[in-house]
Amino acid sequence: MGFIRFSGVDFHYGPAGSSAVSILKGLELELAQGEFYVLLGPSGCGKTTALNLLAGFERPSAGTIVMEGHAIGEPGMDRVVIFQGDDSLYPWLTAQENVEFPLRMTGVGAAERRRRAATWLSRVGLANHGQKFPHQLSGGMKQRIQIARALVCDAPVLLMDEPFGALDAQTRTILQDELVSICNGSGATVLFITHDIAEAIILADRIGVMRAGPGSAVKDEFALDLPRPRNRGSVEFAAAYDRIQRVLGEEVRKVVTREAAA
Amino acid sequence: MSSASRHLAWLALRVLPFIGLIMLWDAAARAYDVPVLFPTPFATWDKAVQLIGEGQLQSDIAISLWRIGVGFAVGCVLGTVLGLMMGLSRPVADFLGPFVHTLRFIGPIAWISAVMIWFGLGETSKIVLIVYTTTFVVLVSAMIGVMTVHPNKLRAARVFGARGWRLFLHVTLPATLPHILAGARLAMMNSFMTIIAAEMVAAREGLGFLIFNSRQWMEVDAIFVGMITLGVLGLLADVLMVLLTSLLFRRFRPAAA
Amino acid sequence: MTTASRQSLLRSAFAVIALLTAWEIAGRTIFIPAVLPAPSVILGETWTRTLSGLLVLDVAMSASRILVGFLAGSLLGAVLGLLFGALEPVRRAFEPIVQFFRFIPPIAWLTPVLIWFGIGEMGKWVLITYTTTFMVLLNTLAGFAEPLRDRMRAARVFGAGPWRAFWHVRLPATVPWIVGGMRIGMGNSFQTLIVAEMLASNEGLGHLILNSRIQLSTEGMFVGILGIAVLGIAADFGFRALTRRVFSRHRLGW
Ligand SMILES: Nc1ncnc2c1ncn2[C@@H]1O[C@H](COP(=O)(O)OP(=O)(O)O)[C@@H](O)[C@H]1O
Ligand SMILES: [Mg+2]
Repeated sequence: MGFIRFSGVDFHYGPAGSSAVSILKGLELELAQGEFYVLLGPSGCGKTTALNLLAGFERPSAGTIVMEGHAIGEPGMDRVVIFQGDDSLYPWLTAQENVEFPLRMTGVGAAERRRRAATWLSRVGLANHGQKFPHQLSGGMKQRIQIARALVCDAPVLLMDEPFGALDAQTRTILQDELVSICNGSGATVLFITHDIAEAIILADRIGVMRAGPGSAVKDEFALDLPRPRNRGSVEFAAAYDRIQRVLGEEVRKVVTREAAA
Repeated sequence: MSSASRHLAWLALRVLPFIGLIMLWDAAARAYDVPVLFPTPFATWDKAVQLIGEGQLQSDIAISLWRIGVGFAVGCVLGTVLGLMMGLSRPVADFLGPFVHTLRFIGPIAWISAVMIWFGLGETSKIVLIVYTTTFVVLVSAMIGVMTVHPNKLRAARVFGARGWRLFLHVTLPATLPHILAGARLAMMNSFMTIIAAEMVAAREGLGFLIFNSRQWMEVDAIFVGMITLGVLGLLADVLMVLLTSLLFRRFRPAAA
Repeated sequence: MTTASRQSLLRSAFAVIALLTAWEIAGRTIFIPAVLPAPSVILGETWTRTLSGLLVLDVAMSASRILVGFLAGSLLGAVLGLLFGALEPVRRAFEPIVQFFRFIPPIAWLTPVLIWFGIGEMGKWVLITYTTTFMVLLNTLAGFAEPLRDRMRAARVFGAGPWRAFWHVRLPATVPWIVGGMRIGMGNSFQTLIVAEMLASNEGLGHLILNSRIQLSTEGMFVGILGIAVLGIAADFGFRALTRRVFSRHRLGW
């Protein structure tokens, strides 16, 4: 049995039993401990929704989500989230203070807090920017703050929602490589969301491709046992890309056709 | 261009329009040709000097500023507390909402008569009016501020274990502060208008009284002194607010109004 | 309606009824009508004044004053705002002056206006125009802060001269700001109305409020306050409905 397990999960907004359209229907998902799992899917299919359920921001309308044998409850430090975009950073706190924030909430002493935050800031390459406020930093640097803020928690599970989605291609590539080296051997279980196939192949142990919504679920899964760091120019990379593209492309085409008809 | 001459040019650009305005005023007053009803800038200046010499202008300024200061401070606290409560709690918003949304359309000046009946002709009635105008503006800003805190800010803090009081203190309040500050700045401006109205209807001192009392004696030069003082004070108060905000609340740059 | 919004409505209704009841009881038992007239007394007074035609006259006069001042101020504010926004040197020269006058409220102009424009309608129009002009002017100027460089460049690429680019790109983008300023200006007009009617007048809702105090007719004063509130809410509602229709291509935010 998996470390994390979604069984028959349905989700729709509004009270249980209401007639609203299901965003997720019969979602089955299993993550092994220490696994890096990437969820791919056309935009609007319900990837963020699935992550919100695991984080505990929303409750399933039906079905269960279990982690280490216990049903998922309130959000907590055992499942830390890296959010899409930079709205979750606190603009009134410096980069350093943003990274200290989780430690502050858990009552870690000031000196210890400062030390641990500084360590993570320099690991994500922000050693010289700790005293700056988020608005003084570039998009890539803001995402690094979010990554440092999540990793400082030492959480067993990391939930990342398109963390590099808004970045330019070069910055994204660099951050992907950094994430691989940080996560390698950290032992954390990761649920990573993206709509970028190349990103998924660079990072994942396993990839789940979701169906176009509404009533979405995982359509197909791909295991990748290529050695890391992975080479974007390799034959294996291209082969994996091609296989996944066939499945995902079909779902994206459904969305495009539907939008054109609407 | 050297930095000195650039400063000079900047200064000229700020000052010249006002010199132009004063010249225009002078020309208009001379054309009108009834000095009592439309005094020139120089006559107004002489009157100001006289009023300052008698000590009247200073004391009028002091009393008006005192009323604004007290009312503004109380109103800011009241507006912030009520606005936060309405933003945080649906039942509180439901209970107070109808009154807030009706009173929003009734400015402080509409209450002048009522307030004087209830609170008399003393200091209280003037301060109450300033409290009223400040409270509403700050309340609405604070409420909107709370309701527009990005959900991911709250979600992140909940992940880190913050709940209830800590969530409010560490996320909701600081995220709302820029809105409250923007509201306070607006309220300060309204206070100047309200105090003049209040002092015109019932007071024996203050800038509003200076303006109103001079009307009875047709001392238009004194009225002009009062008006210009009001403009300068308002402008200074606004600059001071902005300055203090950027000093004390550097982290919380006010939201665009 | 969802259960949540029905519950909200119930709570609001309860609050209003509770307050009106408490007010009615307090007005009948604790306070004399000259201090706090009960809602029923105010309603009766409203009815009497409606029948006698006095209230209709007050509302009509106040509404006409606001309408004239509001329209004149909107036009003036929009034209000046566009002029300032379009011509940078003009803005630089005049903006400090505008900023200064912003802090001299209409009420301070009461006597000069009385002297220069007399006790007729003109003085009242001038005061309301003054208020509205500032709001519309400043809001229009704020609209120019929105960077439209690429859109303006696109227009130039397609062969538009500066004048056409202004007309077809800048002006449409500024419309929501002008209309937004008008809405704020209308709110302020109702405050200024009372001030304007301090200027010798024999009718109008502001006059009713001020005069009732002298006559110790507190219920009359409340009729004036409620009249202004109802008129203000109705005007705001009407303005939003109308502008939504007229400016349906623009995102007005209401
Ligand atoms: N608060 C909400 N209320 C109603 N529908 C929502 C809400 N948030 C998202 N949705 C809808 O749920 C669907 C899935 O959204 P999401 O999980 O964000 O998709 P993804 O992350 O895959 O792009 C979308 O169709 C979206 O419109
Ligand atoms: Mg998403």
